[in-house]
Amino acid sequence: MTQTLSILLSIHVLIGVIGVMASYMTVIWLFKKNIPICSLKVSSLIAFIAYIITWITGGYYYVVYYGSNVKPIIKEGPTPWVHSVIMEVKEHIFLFLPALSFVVLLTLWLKGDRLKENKRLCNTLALVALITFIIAISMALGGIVISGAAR
Amino acid sequence: MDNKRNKIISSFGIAAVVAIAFIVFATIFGELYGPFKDWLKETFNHHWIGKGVIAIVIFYLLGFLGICKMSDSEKAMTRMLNIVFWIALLGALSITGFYLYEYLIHV
Amino acid sequence: MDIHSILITAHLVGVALGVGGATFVGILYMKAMKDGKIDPMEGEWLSVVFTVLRIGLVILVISGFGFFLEYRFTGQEERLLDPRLWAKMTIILVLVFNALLIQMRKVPMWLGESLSITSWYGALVLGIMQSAVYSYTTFLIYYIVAVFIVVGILKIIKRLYLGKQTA
Repeated sequence: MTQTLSILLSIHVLIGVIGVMASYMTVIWLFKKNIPICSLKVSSLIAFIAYIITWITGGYYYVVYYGSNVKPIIKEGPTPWVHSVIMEVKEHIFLFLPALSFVVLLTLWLKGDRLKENKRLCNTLALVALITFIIAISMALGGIVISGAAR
Repeated sequence: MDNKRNKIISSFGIAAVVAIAFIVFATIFGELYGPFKDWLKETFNHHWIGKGVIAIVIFYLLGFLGICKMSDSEKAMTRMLNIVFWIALLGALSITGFYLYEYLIHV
Repeated sequence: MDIHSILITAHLVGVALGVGGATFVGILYMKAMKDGKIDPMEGEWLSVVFTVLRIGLVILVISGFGFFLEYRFTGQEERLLDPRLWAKMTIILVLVFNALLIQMRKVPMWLGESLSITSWYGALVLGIMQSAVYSYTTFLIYYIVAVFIVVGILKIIKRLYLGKQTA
């Protein structure tokens, strides 16, 4: 692996984790009694930007390096399901994140002031933020397993 | 102003639903019908890039174009967000289930 | 100072803040509940400690993923599938979802508190037990048993400190 790819992979992982944490804080804050709208706007923006950066860096690594160097090792190793199931699921479900995080961001920035009065809207938005967080955390965990299988 | 915001969110909500549905369709169809995956590879250099690019285009195109056509009620917007949640959940489960099934039948 | 030392230091700081924060949340909450309610000043103190705890968790998670990258780049990929590591990550996940469920008021306080304390100390112990060679399932069984033990201990402590008004 070249230094550029190592740096891109590191950015992918660490910025991805920041995205996961930002999504987590978005969910937590949406369930607070006194909803911190300013904090929510920041966390949703961080999450969205983080997923875009993670997408670009991870995508480059995946297209340029993973397919020809890592995938064969995993498929020929003792755990081929790590590529056939986990990596395949990860690379496709990840594509939901930019759209989901954008919808959360948009709603918070445009309708954040309505969340205190409209509990139904707040709870529904929290569900969207929750599924975003769950998908994001699954991506992170999947990444650990995939790296572990690439020995 | 508030009505316009409801329209924008509803529009991007439905755009997200369509984009996610496309990703699920393209993923499963691509695995079951080789020529589709090959077409994505030839057009976009990699099938995954193709799925991503088409998904973004669908999302932002529908998101912006749909603003005028959406309902301006907050209730409709909330309902759309609910649909986004369910489609994301079902989409994730479908893709996971599909790859799990594919692996198990070929093992 | 090399990357490994920086990661260890950051991880230990995260653990200290998290374990310390969780411990003090328990202590302060019990002190606040002595008169049956949490007044604004007590709420402020709890809020500060929760913030410290969350900062600890953030540092812990980021440095943890730093370790994963280190293993990946130094040919130690097998460590990423170590049962002890996955038991630790499961416990951190329990911690994360527990905090969410507490916020959503979907879990009773006695259980949420016990899960929080057991999870933080459990993660600490797993981090120290470098030589423990158990399966993932065995680690989790020990964790579940520990949760029940902590529930019992907290109940006794509350009864002794708060008297008959304990839940």
